[in-house]
Amino acid sequence: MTETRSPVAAGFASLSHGKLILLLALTSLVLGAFGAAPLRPAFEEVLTGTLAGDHFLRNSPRVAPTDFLDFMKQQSPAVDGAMRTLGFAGFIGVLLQMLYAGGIVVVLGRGPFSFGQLFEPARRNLWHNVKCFLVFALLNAIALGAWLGGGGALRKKLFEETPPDAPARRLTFWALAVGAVLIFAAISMLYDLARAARRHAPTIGAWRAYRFARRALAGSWIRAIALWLFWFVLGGGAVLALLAITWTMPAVSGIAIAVGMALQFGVLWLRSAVRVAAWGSYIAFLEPRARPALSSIARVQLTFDRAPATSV
Amino acid sequence: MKTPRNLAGKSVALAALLLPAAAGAATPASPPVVEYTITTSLDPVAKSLQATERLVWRNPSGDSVPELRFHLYLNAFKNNRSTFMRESGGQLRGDKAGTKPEDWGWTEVTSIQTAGGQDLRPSARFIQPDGNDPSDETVLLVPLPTPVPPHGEIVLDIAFHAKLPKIFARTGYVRDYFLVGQWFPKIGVYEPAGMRNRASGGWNCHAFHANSEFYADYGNYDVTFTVPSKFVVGATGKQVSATPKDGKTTYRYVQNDVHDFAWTADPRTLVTEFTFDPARDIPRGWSKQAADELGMTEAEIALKPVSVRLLLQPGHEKARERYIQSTKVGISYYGLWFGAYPYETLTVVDPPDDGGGSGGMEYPTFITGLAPSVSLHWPLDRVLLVENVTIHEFGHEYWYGMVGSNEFEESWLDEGLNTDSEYRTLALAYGPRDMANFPGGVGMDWMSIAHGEYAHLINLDPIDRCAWCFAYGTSYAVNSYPKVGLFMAQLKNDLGTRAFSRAQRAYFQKWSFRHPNTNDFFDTFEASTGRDLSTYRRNVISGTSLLDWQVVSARSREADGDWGVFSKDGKNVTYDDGVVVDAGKKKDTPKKDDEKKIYSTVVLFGNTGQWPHGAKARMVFEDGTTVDRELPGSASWVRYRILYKSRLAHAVVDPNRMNVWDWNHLNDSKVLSTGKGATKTLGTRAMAKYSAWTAFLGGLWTQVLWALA
Repeated sequence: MTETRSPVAAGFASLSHGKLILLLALTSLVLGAFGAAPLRPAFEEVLTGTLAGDHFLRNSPRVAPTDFLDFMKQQSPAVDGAMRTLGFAGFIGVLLQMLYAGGIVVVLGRGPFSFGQLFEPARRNLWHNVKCFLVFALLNAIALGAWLGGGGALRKKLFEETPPDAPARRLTFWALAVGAVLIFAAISMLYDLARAARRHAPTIGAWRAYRFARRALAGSWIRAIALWLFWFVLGGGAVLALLAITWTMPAVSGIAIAVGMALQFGVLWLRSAVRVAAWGSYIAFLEPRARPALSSIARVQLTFDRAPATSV
Repeated sequence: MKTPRNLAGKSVALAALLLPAAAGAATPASPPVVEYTITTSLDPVAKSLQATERLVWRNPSGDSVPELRFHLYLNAFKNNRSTFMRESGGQLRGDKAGTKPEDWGWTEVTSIQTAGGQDLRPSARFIQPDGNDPSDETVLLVPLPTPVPPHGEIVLDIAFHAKLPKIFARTGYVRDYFLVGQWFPKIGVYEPAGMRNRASGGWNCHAFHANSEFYADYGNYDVTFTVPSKFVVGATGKQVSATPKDGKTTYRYVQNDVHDFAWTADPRTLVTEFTFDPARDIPRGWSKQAADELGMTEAEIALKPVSVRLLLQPGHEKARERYIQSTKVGISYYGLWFGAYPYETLTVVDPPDDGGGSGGMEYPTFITGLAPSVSLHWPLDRVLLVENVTIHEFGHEYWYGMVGSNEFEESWLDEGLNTDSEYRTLALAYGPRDMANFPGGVGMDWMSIAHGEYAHLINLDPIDRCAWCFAYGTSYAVNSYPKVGLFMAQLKNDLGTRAFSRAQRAYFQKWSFRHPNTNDFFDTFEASTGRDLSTYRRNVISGTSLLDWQVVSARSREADGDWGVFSKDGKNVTYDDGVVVDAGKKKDTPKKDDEKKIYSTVVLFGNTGQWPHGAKARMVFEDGTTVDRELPGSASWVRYRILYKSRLAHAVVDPNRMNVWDWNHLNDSKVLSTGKGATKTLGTRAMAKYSAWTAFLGGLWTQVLWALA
């Protein structure tokens, strides 16, 4: 990674790691398929064994909605099973994300890499990332809980006698919402940079990694949050646009269904691409700030303090 | 301020002006059973009303009546020991009762004076006619010094003070918005022997229950209320005067032939007034369609103009046009199919977001809608909430307002019949996705919702239960609303649209301004259609029978030829797969080609429900041949064995979904796994498409978690 490249440009440059993006997309697809697996026998029985498949595919008014509600009732064990496996798939997904992040922060921005080069640091940094995640979750629970809970209660008290359409009510609602996003963005940047600390200090612990992240962000919070928002908005917007196209496709023919499937995979791919780009961007953002941040939290300073005392 | 006595005199003079026209509806009783003249003033700070009420009550029976019974509905909100609060647990219709000291509501009757000046209040006492809540004060019994003679009358002057509750369950205040309903001492219904199949005359005056609404006699209302002049008001009936004085304005509203009176006051309300003009506002083709179904001329079912007043909340402007259109749709449908709306006015109140508990409610000529701000923005604006609630509440002007069934004891006769009428209105006006219509063809209709609620219900109660007798709240709700919608749709499909529409109009016509019960409903429908409907009454309304026709099994395979030894013309002939061979030898003929094959198809249809009701069976073969058969209601199963040159592709029972009472539609069909044809192909494609969708949504779900973690 060049020193002169901006974080955003570095993010887009990271898109060249096609295999990594594909790995993330395929992982989410496999997890999704695993989560939805309990529905397959129910689909087999209902969609191919009765006229419901015909009704759904043609989207017959009145008939298809009734069949859908009957499906939810009559196949509720399969639906419940799918909900539970999806929950489990989500949990596995979060763990895998922590695993992958451990490798991504090390190899990204250093030219081509093999999967072996990705997974070695990924394995090594997994426990660090789990601890960082727990801190992240705790920080969010405290900060967002205080902001939304306290702000919400205060708002309710202040506006009890205020009409629902009053501008003050709307303004404070949006202030609370925007504030919550900003708090989440700030904590997310801390979390990501704490994980990225392992790029520069491979044995750093979670608490020190957060201190490192805080030092790295000192004086650059606005830029960091702007960077987070950029990828958040870009990724969310792109995914939503592609999702909208997929959603509105009235796929009945075999070809249209195949195109629909390709688009669905495209959504998963796009989201993965944005995540890789965001990582590339954060690493570029961190690069010039890492050394001073590490120095400021280095334990070795204590040795310097003690040395003159013992030499006297 | 006018005295009650003067107002009573004037109300008689106004009677001719305000009587509903006879357009379609039966004539109200004259003189009416009750006449109310009420004068009240609102204290917007104390959230209370100070009022006097002159009541003229005419004994409609041949009995001497020694006591009167009054509803004091607001006492349901007096404390947590009322029947209402015990049953509701302080939560109803998604709304919570307030718990601050100022949130409670009640009515305190301070005096009840006879014409002779005797105060009956000291001898009056609260009674609990329905149960064991000794603290419930929603029914007041007033012993009379001398009984009201048969067909005689009594005049009482009542003084009362009402504290309105924080809005909960239809009535009360929030900030300076007031929806004043069920606010005055209202006399119960004295039912003479024979009315609603009573063996002997007596009071019908139940406690206020969580799962019940109201029941009262028709009469004339002349109500005067005073509020600060900054308030915009609306009320039952027609405004006949507005007199400002000292920063306050006194409004007088009058309406005859109704059984309740509600009003609202709010300084922030935006007023939209419009007239329903039949020539302009009836949707194209509706008048002709109704006339055809009813066997009448369009002139005979002509509607009258109605002055509508929409009281809209600031911030809800997006709902204005939707309120207007749905009100016009409601007036058109109910008027054309059942009888013209007979009153001159209609007030539609849009409650504020923080007063939603007063929304979705009906009072005579006065309804409250529902348009929470969040529902007015994409994508929730694609849910037809405003239309649904407005049409439903307007429909109550018919099934509750004009046909005065007892909502305590037979909630299905108003909520249920109205749900059915509402479904049909919405479907006709808004198309097949009349509940929600999102982009991408994703939508929902009310009949499907009703079916889903019916299918999910734990089937413990019949429909015709008293409102508070159901096993649990959802049982009341589903039995009183969507199940009746399904029953009426089933009845319509079975009787045919014309016979059904005519019977329902006949029921409305006969029972307008009267109090029918379940027997009256069935008697009218049977008389109109000439059909015995006892099976519906026994199984669907008074029973818990389900209907579930299904394709139990279906198979189709190549038919065997004759095998073995057969006696023919006195000789034994040996057959091998249809071919004559010498005894002990196998045939040596080549295998038959496909054109000569005969397939044996066996399909078993069965009804695993308890309601014996017929259905249509359809068997579709791979060559496109369709065989339709009628499955008799008396049969619990029917098996068809068909020898045909083509294999069965699929079998289906009730292919046109005429049996809306059918509990599970998924088992109505079977597509043969061995078969070919369009349904099989589409089924396979559907399998691929929806398997992919669920895997994709699962993947997206994990990615959302990734993004957040």
